[in-house]
Amino acid sequence: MRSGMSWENLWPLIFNATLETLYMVLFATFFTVLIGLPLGVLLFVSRRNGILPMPRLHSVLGTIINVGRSLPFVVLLVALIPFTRLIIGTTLGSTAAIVPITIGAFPFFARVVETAMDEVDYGRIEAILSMGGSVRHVIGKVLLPEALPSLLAGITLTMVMLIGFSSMAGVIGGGGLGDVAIRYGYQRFDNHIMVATIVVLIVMVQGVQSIGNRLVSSLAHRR
Amino acid sequence: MIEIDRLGKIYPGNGRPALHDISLKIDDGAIYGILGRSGAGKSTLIRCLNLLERPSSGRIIVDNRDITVLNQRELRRQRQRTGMIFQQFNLLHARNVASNISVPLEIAGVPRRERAQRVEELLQLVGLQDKAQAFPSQLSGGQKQRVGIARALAARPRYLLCDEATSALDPETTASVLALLGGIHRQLGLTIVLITHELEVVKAICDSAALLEQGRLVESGKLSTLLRQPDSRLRQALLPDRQAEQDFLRRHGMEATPLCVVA
Repeated sequence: MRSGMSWENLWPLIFNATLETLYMVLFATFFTVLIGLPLGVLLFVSRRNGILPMPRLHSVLGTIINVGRSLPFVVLLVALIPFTRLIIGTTLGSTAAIVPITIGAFPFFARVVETAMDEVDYGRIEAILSMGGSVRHVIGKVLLPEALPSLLAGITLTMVMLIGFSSMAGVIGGGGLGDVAIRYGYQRFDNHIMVATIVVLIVMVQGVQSIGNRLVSSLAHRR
Repeated sequence: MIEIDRLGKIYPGNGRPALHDISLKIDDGAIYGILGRSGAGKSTLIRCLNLLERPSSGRIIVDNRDITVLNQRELRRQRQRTGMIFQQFNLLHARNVASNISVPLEIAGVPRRERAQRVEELLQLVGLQDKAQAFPSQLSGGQKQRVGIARALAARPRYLLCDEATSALDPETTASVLALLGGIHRQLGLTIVLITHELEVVKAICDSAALLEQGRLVESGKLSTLLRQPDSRLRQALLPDRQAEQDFLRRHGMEATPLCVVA
């Protein structure tokens, strides 16, 4: 086993990379939810037998989302380089990486939202309609609050996936733990750093998952 | 008054119509029971009365207005005047009892202070004052249906539609929910339309009834009239069957003993 770097040099490197990863994951989660949540709701209500039937829009959205989801993330990452440059002005660094990560994740999250809405008992939607509720009432009073536990579980799932995506962004110089793992672990065979990044990533995933689980179970009375 | 005029409903891809040429008049202040087996079309019929289901043909005239031609906005206003309770209660699980009851008031745009006051009245009406902060998952079936009733009455509707409201409840709870509905009817004088497959429900509270079979109306009218007609199907169903009673007694070794002596 080859040891590259001393402990004093290793810690700041890992620490900064961890912050970069957190930065990417948190912002990408925010934008993913910002785009994916309304899209998922729209996808659900616009179904042919939905509360606001728009079959054509529904199938167009569905197709776009399926295309987005069928591309492997590494391919998307490279393919989106010109688009990222257009928006951020550069393709390097963690801020630039947020763009492809968000684009890779929001179609997935939109499906998660659609599925969560689907789990809400249709009778509860009908109850609101029977009181004279509008589509807005159904979304605001039934779909979102009643699906909240599933939505939180879905956000947890998405965040764990985003941690993976943010590491892959290291391939195009996105910074973060993935970047460190590639530059030191892969290109320089520095096993210390390799192990350190793996440990931090595992801790991060565990942390996100257990916070998510705790939030979901705090809403257990909503079953 | 609700007038159902030659109502028909055909589901696409289904040969037999779910409802065929139904005409029915429901007087103000009635408790109208629509009786039928499962699949007779009674659920479709009651759901047509607030257009949760769109009829394929015919008209539904509520207070002299054909509701099938209303636009979305007018329909929503009409629905606010028509409360509905459901077999599966359909309460919002993310809200507590008080908050569930206030939903129709929120939709109607009632200010917060008035809402709280109205919810308090309704909790009292259905006898659930001590459960205001409970969540639906913490309630029994009967309590859930009481919340459903309070919620349906919140916006002071003229009509209350009951879609198999007691079918998920045990006999004792059914009796107490029916008693509550009867009391509300006396107190508020609203019109109640209920569908059920249970004869007991019709016996307990209805003053008018209709019998539905395979999407067709067999008979309908005031029970006081129907019970005078010897060949009425509803009469036959509602009144005790002498032969069956005698057979039952004979089976248990009480041949021809009058019931009152046994009791």
